[in-house]
Amino acid sequence: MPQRAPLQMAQLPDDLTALSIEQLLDIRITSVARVEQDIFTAPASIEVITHRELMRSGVQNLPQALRLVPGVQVARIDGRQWAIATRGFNSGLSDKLEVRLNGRTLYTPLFSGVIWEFLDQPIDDIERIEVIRGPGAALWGANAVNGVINIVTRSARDTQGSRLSLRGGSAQEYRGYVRHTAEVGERGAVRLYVQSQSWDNSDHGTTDGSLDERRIHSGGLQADLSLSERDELMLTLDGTSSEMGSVPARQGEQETMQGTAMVVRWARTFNARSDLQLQLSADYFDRDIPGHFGEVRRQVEVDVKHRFRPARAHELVWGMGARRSSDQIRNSPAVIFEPDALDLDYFNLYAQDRIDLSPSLELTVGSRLEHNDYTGFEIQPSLRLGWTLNDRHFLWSSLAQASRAPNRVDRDFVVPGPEPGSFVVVDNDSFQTEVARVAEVGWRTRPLDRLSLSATVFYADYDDLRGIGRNGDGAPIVSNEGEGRSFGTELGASWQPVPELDLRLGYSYLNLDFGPREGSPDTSIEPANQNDPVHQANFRIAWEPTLKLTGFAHLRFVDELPDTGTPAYTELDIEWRYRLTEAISIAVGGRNLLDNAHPEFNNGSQALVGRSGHAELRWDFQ
Amino acid sequence: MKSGVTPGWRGCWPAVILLLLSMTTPSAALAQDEVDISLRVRAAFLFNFARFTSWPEVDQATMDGRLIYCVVGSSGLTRALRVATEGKQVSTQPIEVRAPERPTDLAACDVVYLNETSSPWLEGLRGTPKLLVGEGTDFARAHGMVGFFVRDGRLRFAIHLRRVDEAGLQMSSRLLGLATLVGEGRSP
Repeated sequence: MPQRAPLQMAQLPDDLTALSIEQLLDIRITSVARVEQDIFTAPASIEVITHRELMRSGVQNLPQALRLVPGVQVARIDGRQWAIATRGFNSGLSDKLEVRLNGRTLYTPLFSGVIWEFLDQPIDDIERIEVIRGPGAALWGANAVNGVINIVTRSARDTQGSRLSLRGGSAQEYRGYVRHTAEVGERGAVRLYVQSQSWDNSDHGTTDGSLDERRIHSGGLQADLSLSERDELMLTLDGTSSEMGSVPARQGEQETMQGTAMVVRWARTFNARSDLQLQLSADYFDRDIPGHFGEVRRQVEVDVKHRFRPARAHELVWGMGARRSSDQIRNSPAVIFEPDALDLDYFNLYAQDRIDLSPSLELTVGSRLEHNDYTGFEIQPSLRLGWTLNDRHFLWSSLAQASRAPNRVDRDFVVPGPEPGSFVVVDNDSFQTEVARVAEVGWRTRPLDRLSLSATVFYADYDDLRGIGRNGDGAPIVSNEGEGRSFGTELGASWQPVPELDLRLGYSYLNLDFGPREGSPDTSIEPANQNDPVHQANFRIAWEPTLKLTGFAHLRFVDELPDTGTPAYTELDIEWRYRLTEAISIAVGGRNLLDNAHPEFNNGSQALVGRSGHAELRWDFQ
Repeated sequence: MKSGVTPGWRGCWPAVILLLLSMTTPSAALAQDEVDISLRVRAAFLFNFARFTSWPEVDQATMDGRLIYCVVGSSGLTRALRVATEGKQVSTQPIEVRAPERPTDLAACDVVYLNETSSPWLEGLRGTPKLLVGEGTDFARAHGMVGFFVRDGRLRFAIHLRRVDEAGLQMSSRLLGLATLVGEGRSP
């Protein structure tokens, strides 16, 4: 799948002055990254949130930013936790979404999901967020079953000077952020940042009485350097420390998490159609839920990616990578991982060829071969066809198979029962990969120069979904008990009637039906298979009436989640920013303005989310 | 407890070596269409800059109804800009593209693109209501007002807002919102 999508030369109109400035900014004139193409002619259900949109929307963290994307299910469980998914299977432990930050994989092999509350990248430093709904496994690997999210931070050369931002809100949330960027010689820059955020316990408490206050502090740097005309080096280092409230029984004892992460990337551009990228990333974290569970994880990943044109009409991307993820679990009487320490190795090799069948017809064939220690080799092929009817219409379709490889919870999880020697769950060495086969058809159109529409229809078939079964001894195990299918649609409209006004409308429909396969003893799937909204809709307005004033409003509807007892809700977020001087601006805004309190997701500790206001002061200085 | 599966990447070293070898091959000179695209995109930006900039009214009276682009030091861009703007207007003004040979020829220009920073060309331009465009954020910083630069393979532009103001020009917030702002008093 394309990471991002500048216009391809072949698709450019003869008269470039017919394009908007935004489109001009997207044209690739030389090349550094993997196969990229215009969003308009990307054969996938893709959406990009730009830095500009992030800044004017007033979002404070990545989950809030993802709410802007139609078809992404984002629910705040409580002040600490989020449930985020695309195309269903949402929970606090969502495991079918691949999320990367500057190419570094963020999911933990503990449960194949992302610990969202530990992701503290300052929004000010994010260049763009790309969301691909649907399978992306052929390029992105064995977690990209239902979607891929790529978070890309800003080049240090784009954030010159310094910034100070202070924010406070009626939901007892506070944020302080400082960054400074220094130039390094003629051709580079390094940015340093510190961010500190805190939230008090939710006003309405949590359903299980647990405390959901949270504090998180981060700091780090990003350096970008041109080594030569064609060599770019990037380095990021981040450190994060957080403390959270815990369940009442352990009042006073804080859940903690500390971690560091690093990415080094070297990219060489041979010419506009050929480049090579080498990336090394590493991270370490230690989280502790006192008396319950602890996890120390060290990960190292190496990736190589090469793009070139082996022949006319072909653009080939291939790459390979290796990852080692080592953990040390602190088991407790309540939760046991067996073994408690494990090194997991992953290796992958992938290739994707984009073939111009004719000037208007493009076929993308790709596959990824991935090896994991649990199930060996997984093959994840994909086939995509794009048809450019003319300047204003693009049709695409795809067929793909994606797998979700087993993780520690699937294989090594033991939950002792109340009686000595009894078990709620024992470990299971035979858990197999969950598999999805997905078909998609999409259409994009630009009926007017400033109006674009997109529609995607998909069908997915899932096998070997996780449930609770029985082993030969009759003991309960985590095993492949479920199957299901989903179909749905994602619609988007974008209209800029005048340059100062930007209107976006999104709608998604998801009909997800899954349950235990015939004859399965499972009773865990049925009570939790309706956690995804059937209908979701959102409408955003960004308005810049003058150079000094910007306004943003986001109205969203989320359908009920029957299994969690969450009613449907409609909410409105608003943000106004006024520039007092060229350097100083203030913002005021409100979130969830349409009601006092409502739940978004029940994962045991659910808290109510309600109306709140906030204000921010931002100062840019040398 | 786990079956010891051998990670199988040892066999892939030939591919790694092949890859490293491929990096030592000399990079081909930029193909002609790549040069063209770079010039065509610059031309389209120059056209757009004028669309989103307003000139002081006093000056407009002296403009004899035409919007005059002067391109210094790039015959390729001169050509590309002529092709891009042929038959087009900004507001109601027809467009003319010139390639001045002497600094004194700049007097009549409304938009000046300088592909060099030698002082004779820059002298006398400061503070006059001409939109000055060059290459690099350093150009924007040192001489103003707009500097093209390449980032992540795409053409971007930096704007020195104070110089734009000093010259009596006004740029739309839409244009500024897409620019990297440089110089003192920079805003997000």
